[in-house]
Amino acid sequence: MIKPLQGIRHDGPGDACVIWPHAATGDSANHAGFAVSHGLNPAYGKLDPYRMALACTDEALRNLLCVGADITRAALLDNFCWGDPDDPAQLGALVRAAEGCRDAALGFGAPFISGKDSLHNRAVDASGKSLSIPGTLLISALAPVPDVRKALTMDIKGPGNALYLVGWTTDDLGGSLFHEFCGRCGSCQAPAADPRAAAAAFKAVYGALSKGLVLSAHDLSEGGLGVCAAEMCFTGEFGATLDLDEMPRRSNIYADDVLLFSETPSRLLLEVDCDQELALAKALRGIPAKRVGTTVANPVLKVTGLDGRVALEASLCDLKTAWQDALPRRLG
Amino acid sequence: MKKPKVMVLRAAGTNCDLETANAFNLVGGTAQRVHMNLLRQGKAKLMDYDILALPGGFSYGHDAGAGKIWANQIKLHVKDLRNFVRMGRPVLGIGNGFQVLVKAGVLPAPHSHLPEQTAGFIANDSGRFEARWVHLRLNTQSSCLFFKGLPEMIELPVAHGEGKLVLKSPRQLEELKKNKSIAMQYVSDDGKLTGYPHNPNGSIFNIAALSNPEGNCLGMMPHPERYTTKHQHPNWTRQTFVKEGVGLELFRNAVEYCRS
Repeated sequence: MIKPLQGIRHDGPGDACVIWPHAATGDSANHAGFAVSHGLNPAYGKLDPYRMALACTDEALRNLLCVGADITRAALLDNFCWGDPDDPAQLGALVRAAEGCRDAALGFGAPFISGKDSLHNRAVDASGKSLSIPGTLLISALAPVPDVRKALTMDIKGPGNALYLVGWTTDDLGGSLFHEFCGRCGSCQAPAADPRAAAAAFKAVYGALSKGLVLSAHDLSEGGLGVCAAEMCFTGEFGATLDLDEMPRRSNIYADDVLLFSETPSRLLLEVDCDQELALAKALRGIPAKRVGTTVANPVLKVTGLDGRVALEASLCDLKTAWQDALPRRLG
Repeated sequence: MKKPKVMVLRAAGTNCDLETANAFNLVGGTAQRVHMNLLRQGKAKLMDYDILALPGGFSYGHDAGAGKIWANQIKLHVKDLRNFVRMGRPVLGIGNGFQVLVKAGVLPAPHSHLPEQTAGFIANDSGRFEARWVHLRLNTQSSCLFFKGLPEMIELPVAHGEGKLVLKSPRQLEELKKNKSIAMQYVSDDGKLTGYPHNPNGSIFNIAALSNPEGNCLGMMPHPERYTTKHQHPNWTRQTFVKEGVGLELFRNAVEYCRS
């Protein structure tokens, strides 16, 4: 029902897949289905395996939420891909990641139903030194979609709709794409997700989604708001204007690039019809959510900085090229 | 009103039989999934049915070529298939089912009385299995009974590794054009005959489906049974104007044809 690549040209990065088993059973009046997603970020694991586990679980559940799955009934799987467990540092990191999984499961109220692990992923270099791979945890998640006809995709559906950002933004550039790109990785920490607070926010967002108040939803993960908004825009082939000053934030952040690329967990960007804004505000009462922008017909993503000047203006064509070229470039 | 009986024939490795049967049931047919062995043993009779469907899949693991073994079985054991076609009853081959119809000499419609294979399928030009949605242009001149009321341009998913149709000679292509047997062609989204990726397999003259000149026997590589509700289209969350999957219309036309 919902395929991994979405949008007009079927090439945008969807959050999760929705499967409708009754297409095969022939019970065409039964529209129950389920969604499958994942969360992964080895860059966080290099900094803090415990926080990686929390953040990956958070991302997997948010991905489910973005297609309209009932995350209060979600189940998780852990997939460890780890180095040499005879190395105390590697084993310690593995234990920390497992503790993160436990706390994430308890905090989100989602059980781990299975998993898989692959240890001893290491190579020995010419001098005989054992090199382990970066400890990587993939969290897979699945949850029921009560009515697959109400499922969502992440592409912008039309011009003139409001864009709402759900969740606080803090200065979370540790392990981020921004740091990888700019080469700054000093003593910063990986972002810390708060499962209990996130679970409450997700539940409220699910309420809004199931009422049909939201046109499209996408999670903020690698690359933060900037990448999230760009993906939604070029997949739906509509532009957007964003105002960074409107972002819900707790700590004092005075830099546009931090706001735009910070990877604080538990955040979502929602596209909402302007007529539904009041209903959305009611559904999200008590949750940090604010209108940060508007979709436009012009194929341009325009971001206004804290000083009121244009911080970023890029054509969707350029953004899409940048996004699509990254993988072939990495693979050489 | 009488419900037309549909035989959805299956063999070892067929995997689209359930969806094909569901599609016929949705539009008022009574579909039965019948195993090839029942036909061979005489426990089921083709002539008892109004419509025959050969669904997609990987019959006999595609050993000896896609659909080849199944096609041979049909040639040897389903002798009344030619009569079934000649009587004007609808026959629909989808994906592997199309390959079987071609390799059994049912399509392109033969000149002689012997079921002789005059076309074939080879591996896609891309060298890999292509599973995605494609744009198709229907032949509006074709008398194909499955196409009644359909728009000229439709979208359906393909899923095959050996879908490149090859013909015996250039003359055969001219003949197919002349007797309006080219039922569907792969086109770009603006309706032009272009190459890969719009033509997913490199099929000659972008042929996606063939029918017999009478229009009651249709073989097609794309899968209409995978587009029976509007929610199966990859862009359904953007489409406010679509009521149902266009694939369902082909099945409805066959069922309605039998009722009238």
